[in-house]
Amino acid sequence: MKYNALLFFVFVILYSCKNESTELPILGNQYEENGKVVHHKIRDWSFLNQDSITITNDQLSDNIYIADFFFTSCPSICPKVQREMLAIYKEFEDEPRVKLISFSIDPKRDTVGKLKEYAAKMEIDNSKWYMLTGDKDFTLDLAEDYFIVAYEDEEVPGGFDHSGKIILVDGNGHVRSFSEGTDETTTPKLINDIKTLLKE
Amino acid sequence: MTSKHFLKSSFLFTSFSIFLIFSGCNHQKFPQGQRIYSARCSNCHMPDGNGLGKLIPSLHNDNLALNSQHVVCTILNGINADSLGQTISVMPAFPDMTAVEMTNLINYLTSEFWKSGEVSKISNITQLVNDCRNSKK
Repeated sequence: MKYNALLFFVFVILYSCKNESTELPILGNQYEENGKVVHHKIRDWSFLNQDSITITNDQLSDNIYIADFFFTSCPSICPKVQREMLAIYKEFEDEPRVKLISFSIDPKRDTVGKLKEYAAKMEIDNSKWYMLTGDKDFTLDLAEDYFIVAYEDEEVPGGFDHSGKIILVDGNGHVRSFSEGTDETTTPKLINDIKTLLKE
Repeated sequence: MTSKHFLKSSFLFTSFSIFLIFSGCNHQKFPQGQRIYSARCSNCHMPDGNGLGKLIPSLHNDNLALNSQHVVCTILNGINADSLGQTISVMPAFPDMTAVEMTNLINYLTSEFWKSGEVSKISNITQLVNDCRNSKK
């Protein structure tokens, strides 16, 4: 009897562990509309990539992607963030469902040609990692949808201030996880989250 | 002193000595140079000096150790390069770096990335700094 009680207790613990939700949450504010929960969603966008090809959010509906905001002449946090992006790129190099996007917040200097040169030096596959350039004001507004702070500031090196988060987005445009691009210790968790999202 | 007190004192002295030796071993040899590296270099060259692809070169390059003049001038003057018909800065210049700061930085780079064990003297680096500044005039 005593052993039966102990076995039951162990079973309950193991069962509760097994049923722990492994699904990633949808981040951001949510509200109810017509009895349905509406989650935070990234607005529609369209940019040119380093090959001068138009890329839209719609084209990524069958993918998941990670995104950051940067500019090629950034002398502060961008190289560190890009190094973490590169680590994630290498981890999922052979997983076609995972894409990477780097939005330039300095389109005046970051022309298509400049981004192509930058991507070549990073030795990346241009069909997997898009370096995007477009309208500056729209890009700075769009950053807010990714919970990134980005704005022009003449006082800071490079002329732009921005946060270095790397954002994980699902095919529906929902933000599902993030890491601090300036803190390499947060990258392994994001890599795990990408693997979790791939199973959904 | 009784033998008990002697043993106790000897034990404490030995323990303290071992502590000093080990704390000395873990201590960064050039902390001033490390601070300068963290403030001015590590954002691009990374804390481990590995750089970023072909975009930012790795500092684990023994050729750099053989050419202090080149390293000092590069830090003082930065690097400009042609990009799509325009001259752009690919490495910022640090023209105001003093010879003392430069010596600390070079010694940190030498011990951390080049492992040559060579320690530069301020007099030598001052000469290199002056040569670079004069050649730029």
